Amino acid sequence: MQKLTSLDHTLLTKSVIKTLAYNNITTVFEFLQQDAEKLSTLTKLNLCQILDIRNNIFTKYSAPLVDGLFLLSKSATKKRYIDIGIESLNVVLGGGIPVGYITELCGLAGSGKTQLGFQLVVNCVRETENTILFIDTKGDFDAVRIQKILDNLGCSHQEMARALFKIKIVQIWTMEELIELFKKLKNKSVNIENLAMIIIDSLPCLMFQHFGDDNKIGLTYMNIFVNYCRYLCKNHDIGVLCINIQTRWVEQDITDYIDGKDQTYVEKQNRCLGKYWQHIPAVIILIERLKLDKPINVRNDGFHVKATVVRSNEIKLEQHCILTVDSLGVR
Amino acid sequence: MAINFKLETGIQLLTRLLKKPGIENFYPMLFEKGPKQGDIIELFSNAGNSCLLLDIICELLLPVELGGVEGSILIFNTDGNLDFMIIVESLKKKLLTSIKKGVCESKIDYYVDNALQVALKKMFFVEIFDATQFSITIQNLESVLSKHSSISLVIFDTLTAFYWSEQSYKITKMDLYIKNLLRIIQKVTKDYKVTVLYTRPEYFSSTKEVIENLEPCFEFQTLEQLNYRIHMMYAGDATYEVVVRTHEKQIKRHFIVCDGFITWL
Repeated sequence: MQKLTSLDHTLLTKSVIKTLAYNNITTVFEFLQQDAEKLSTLTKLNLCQILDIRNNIFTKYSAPLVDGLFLLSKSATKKRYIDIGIESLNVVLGGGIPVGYITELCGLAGSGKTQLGFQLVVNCVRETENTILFIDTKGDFDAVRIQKILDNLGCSHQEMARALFKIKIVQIWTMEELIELFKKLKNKSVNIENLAMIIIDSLPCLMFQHFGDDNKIGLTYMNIFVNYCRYLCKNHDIGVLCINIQTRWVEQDITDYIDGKDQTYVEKQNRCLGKYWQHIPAVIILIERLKLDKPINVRNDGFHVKATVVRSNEIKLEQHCILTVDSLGVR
Repeated sequence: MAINFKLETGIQLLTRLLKKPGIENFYPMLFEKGPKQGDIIELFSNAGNSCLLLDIICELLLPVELGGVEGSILIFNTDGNLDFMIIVESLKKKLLTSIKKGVCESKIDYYVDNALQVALKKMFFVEIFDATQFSITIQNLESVLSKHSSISLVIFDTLTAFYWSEQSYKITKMDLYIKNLLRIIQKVTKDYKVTVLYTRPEYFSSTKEVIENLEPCFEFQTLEQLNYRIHMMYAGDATYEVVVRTHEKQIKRHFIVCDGFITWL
């Protein structure tokens, strides 16, 4: 909660703030909750001055109220989706990655998430003015893979350089660093021109560092990160894509399984990051590697994946498409 | 001797005393003859509850002659997944279906656009991005409700969006957090005769008790207590089950979502 500072009003001098703190009033919220008369007695300010400080706080910190007509006129000119250049996936997504929302791309290890992420990056920057911010938390961003995808699309060296210039890569190792970066993007101390999308590959890498902390500080960080994401999405008209790994597990005790007894077990696949995260992304793209006897039109290193799109507010309405993944990209 | 008084302007007094349109008999599938002014409604689900919320919003905004309430609504969008454009599209579809029945085809678009504009003027939105903004905007509700005295329903989607960012080394229990927020909301809205509806995810509870064992709903408005608890769940075969609990009974309803519309079974 925001602390009371002398910046909130000229009448909130250091001595007034000290007096308030002595009476356990340290945040703007605690100030507003107090009776105006009591505040007047404590601070020796008159009632009008107290009300003026209150009004200042309301103006500075409360969210602006807008009506539906205003929102409609504002929304009419806004782009709703970022075209990701893969027709079948665009269709199931309703037009592309939604602007103004958080999207999650998740799948098991080796399902082609990162390659799909790279393909989206290439498709979004190629032949557009878009810039993509790619946040690498695993330290494995590979420009050569991007170059291969561009090469496969028939780009000249000049076009490749132009596309690569529009991909901004930053390596982040902790949630604190991630929050700091988003804070700077919010207050525009870091400014990226034509920013269309932020891709984070991946969040669990940062969140797993906080596994088992009883005071749940990791969840506090995640909530703050989500708040910044939402602000950037809505106010900077961008999309945020989080590429997250899925985990798989069986409910049965593994020792029973090794014993070689006739066991029937059900393998479960989980989106990571716990219950809080489950409701956060507006759109979830689940990638599942298909095991086909005869893959169609696939290179030696290629395979097919099923991409299922789930909207968090319409959980049971799923749509899917089949994609082909290989070292030259995703189609 | 300290004198207890509450300072208010003439406009605030007038707003408080004015008879505002209530939303009794609104959405009878869930509320039957209610909800009353000042009632608190909780909607929770482990699936997305946006489709039901969307339907409630549209029904409230629809003109009286088309079967709606023509009420005014204030929405706190805190988790950010309530899509304004989907509200507009749903409202437009509902208007189109209702207006089609009694108007010649050439004038349908004109009537729909007019009705949509009137409805959207009655819908107010606040986008909240952090815990401080959330708390201060709630505190500022009194002035908002004074200015827009026609508002009869305030929706928080969701009430718990900033819970984790407000926790430090000492964690407030989830149920207590909701109660604290409700107390503040009730305090600032009590004079303005509004109904409050909030959503929360199903996991957001300090106890592992089944719903039946949670605190009962109250008949009259009571501090920190609910008047309606609505539980929405997916029942399979594209059908959703909704259980509404009040102080006296519980009712079960089912609906399907077809072409973006809720159809009650």
